[in-house]
Amino acid sequence: MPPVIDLEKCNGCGACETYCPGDLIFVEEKNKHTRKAFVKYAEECWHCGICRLDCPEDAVSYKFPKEMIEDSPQSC
Amino acid sequence: MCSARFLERKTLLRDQIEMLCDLLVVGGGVSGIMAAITACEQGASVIVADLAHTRRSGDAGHGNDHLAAYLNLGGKWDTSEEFLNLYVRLSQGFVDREVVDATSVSVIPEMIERLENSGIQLKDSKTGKYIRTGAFDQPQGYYINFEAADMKPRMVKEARRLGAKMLNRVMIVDPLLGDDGRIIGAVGFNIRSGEFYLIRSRGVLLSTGSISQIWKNPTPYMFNVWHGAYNGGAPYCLAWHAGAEIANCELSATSLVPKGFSAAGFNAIFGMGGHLVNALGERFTLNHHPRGERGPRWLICWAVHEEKKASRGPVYVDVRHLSPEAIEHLTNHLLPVDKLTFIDYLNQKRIDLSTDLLEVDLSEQALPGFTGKPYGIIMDRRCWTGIPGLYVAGATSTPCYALSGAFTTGISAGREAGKAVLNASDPPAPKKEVVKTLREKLLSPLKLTKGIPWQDFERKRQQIMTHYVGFERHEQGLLKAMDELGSLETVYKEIKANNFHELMRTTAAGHLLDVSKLVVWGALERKESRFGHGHHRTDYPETEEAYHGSILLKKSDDTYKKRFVPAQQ
Repeated sequence: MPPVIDLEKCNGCGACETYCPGDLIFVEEKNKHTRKAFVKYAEECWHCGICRLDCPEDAVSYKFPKEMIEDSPQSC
Repeated sequence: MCSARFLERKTLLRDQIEMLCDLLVVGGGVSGIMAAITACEQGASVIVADLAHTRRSGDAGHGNDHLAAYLNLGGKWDTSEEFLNLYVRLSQGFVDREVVDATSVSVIPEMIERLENSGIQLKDSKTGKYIRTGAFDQPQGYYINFEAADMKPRMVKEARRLGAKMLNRVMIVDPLLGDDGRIIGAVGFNIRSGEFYLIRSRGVLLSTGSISQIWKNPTPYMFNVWHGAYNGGAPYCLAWHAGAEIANCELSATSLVPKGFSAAGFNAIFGMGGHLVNALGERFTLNHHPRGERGPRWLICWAVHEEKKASRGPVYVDVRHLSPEAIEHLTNHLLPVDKLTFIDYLNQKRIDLSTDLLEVDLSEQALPGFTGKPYGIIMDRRCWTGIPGLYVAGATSTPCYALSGAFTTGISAGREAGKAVLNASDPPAPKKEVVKTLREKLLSPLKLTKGIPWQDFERKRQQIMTHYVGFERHEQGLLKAMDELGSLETVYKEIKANNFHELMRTTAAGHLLDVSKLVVWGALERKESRFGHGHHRTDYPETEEAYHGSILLKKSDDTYKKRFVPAQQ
C-alpha cells in the first residue's frame, strides 16, 4: 500500500525519507533546483502513516490496493 | 548526565567506523530510548543503534492510544497488587511474578510521573481526568486512553539532552563475544551508506521489539503486519547467538484485524464496548467467555475461527449501538492514534462505523509485544539475561506486556545496566579475524554476480512456517518444517543484494530463519495445545498440566538445550 506523494506540494525537505521506519522513501534531484520525494519500495509499506504525520506540506496521502479493500458496507 | 566516554574513529578501512561506549542499546523504540535515558542518568555513556530513525522508530513511533496502569485512585482493583495478579493470570502463570513486580509493576508510578513531567498529556484535556477502558479479560479499566503523536520525539530529545548518541539507520547484525562468553559489543552497518560499524561496549541492552513475518499474512503484501514490520528476526537472534535463554516461541499470538488490513485497534473497539457478531447478527463470544468480547484475545480469535468453521461467518465488529460521543472518541481519538491510517482504510472501504458493520478476520501469527505474552528473552529482576553484560527490555523480553511494559522495563533495564557497566571493565578488543569473518559474511550478498532476490527466500520460508507450523501443527508436519528450513539454509547464501537496502532485508531474512527454527523446536517439544491458535497440536489437542510452564531454549552448537520452568499459580 504505497503512500502517494503530491509532487506539486512536495518541497523535497526529506522528512518522509528520514523518518520512514522502513527506508522506503528517497529524495532525488529532479533538476538543479528541485528535489522531490518518491516511494522506491512501495510494496514494503507498513502503512504506518509516519510520512504523512511528519510532512510539513501535507503532500502525502494513501491509496489502499484492492486486496486490502473490499467493496460495499455491510449491515445486518 | 552521562559521561563523555565515547571514542569514535574511522579505521584504515575508510568505510569502517569503530566506536566505544559503556552501554550499547540495540533498538531505539520506546523501551530502548527509556533505557538510554535511565542509563545516562546513572552516568553511563550510551549509544542507541536503530535501523530506522529513533524519532519515529518502533511500534509506537507514531504514538499510541492506550497505556495500561494502576493509578491508586480508589478501588481495590486500582492497586499494584491487583494489577500484578492480573499480569500473572493473563499469561496463565507463565511469567515470573517477582520479576514482573520488580521490572514493571512497581515501576508504573515512575512511568506515569516521567511521562507527565515530559509534557505528554495522559489526562483528557476537557475534563482533566483520566479516561480508562478495559479489554482482554481485565476486570476493570486499566487502559488509560491518551494521544501522543509526539511521544517518541520528546523521549529522544530527552535522551540526547542527557548525552545519549543516536546511531540512526545502523542495523546491528551480530553480537561480539569475549573468550569468557561476555558480550563485548556488536557489529552492524549503515543501511544507506554501507559503513561497517564495530561497536565495543561494556554492556549491550537488546530492545529490538516484536517479531512479525515469521508467518505469512493473508494479503500479498509482506509488510502488512500487525506489529514490528521492520524488526526482522533481530529481537531474538542476537540474544540466541550470545547464549541467552528464550522462552515459548511456539506460543504465537494472533489478533483480530479489519479484513485485509493488519491494523491494531482491537483494544480500542472492544474496550469502548464494541460487539463482535457473526453473519446472523449473534454475539457469539458470550458462548466462550462470560466477558464476551472483553475476554482473552486468544479465546476471542478461537471463537471467530469456530464460527467460520460452523459456516456462521463472516464475522463483524458492530459499534452501531455506541453513543455518538463514544463513536467520536473511537474514530477520532483511538483508532487513528493506534494506527494512523485506520480511518483512511474505513473511508476507502466506504464504511461509517456509526451505521455499518466492519468485517474482521484473524491476523497473521506473530510474536508481538502484546498483553499476556509468555514468549521472549528471559530476564531476571534486573533485566539481566544471565549472559555477562547482556540486558533486555521491551517486547523482546519476558515478562513484558505492551506499551507500559516497554516503558517500565526500559526504565528498569537502563538503570540496572547503567549501574552494572560502570563497575565493569573495558571490553577487550575483538579478534581481528572474528571481525573480518563477520564483515565478509555480512557483505557477501553484495558480491554475488547472480542470485535470487530476498523476497523469494522470504516467501518460501513463510510458506514453510504457515503450512507446517501454522494454526494446526503435528509431529510429522513439524519435522517436515525442520527439514525444509534446513534445506532453505543452504539457499540463503544464494540471495543477491543489489544495494544496502536489500542487504538490510537479506540480513533480516537470515535472522528470521534462525528464529523460525526456535519456533519449530519449541512446537515439537510442547506436546499439548495452549492459547487457542497460539499453539494447536492436532496430535495433542488438549491442554496438559504437565506442560503448564515455560519451555526455555538455549543455543548448543547447531541445536539447543531445553529447560522447563513450571508456571506460577
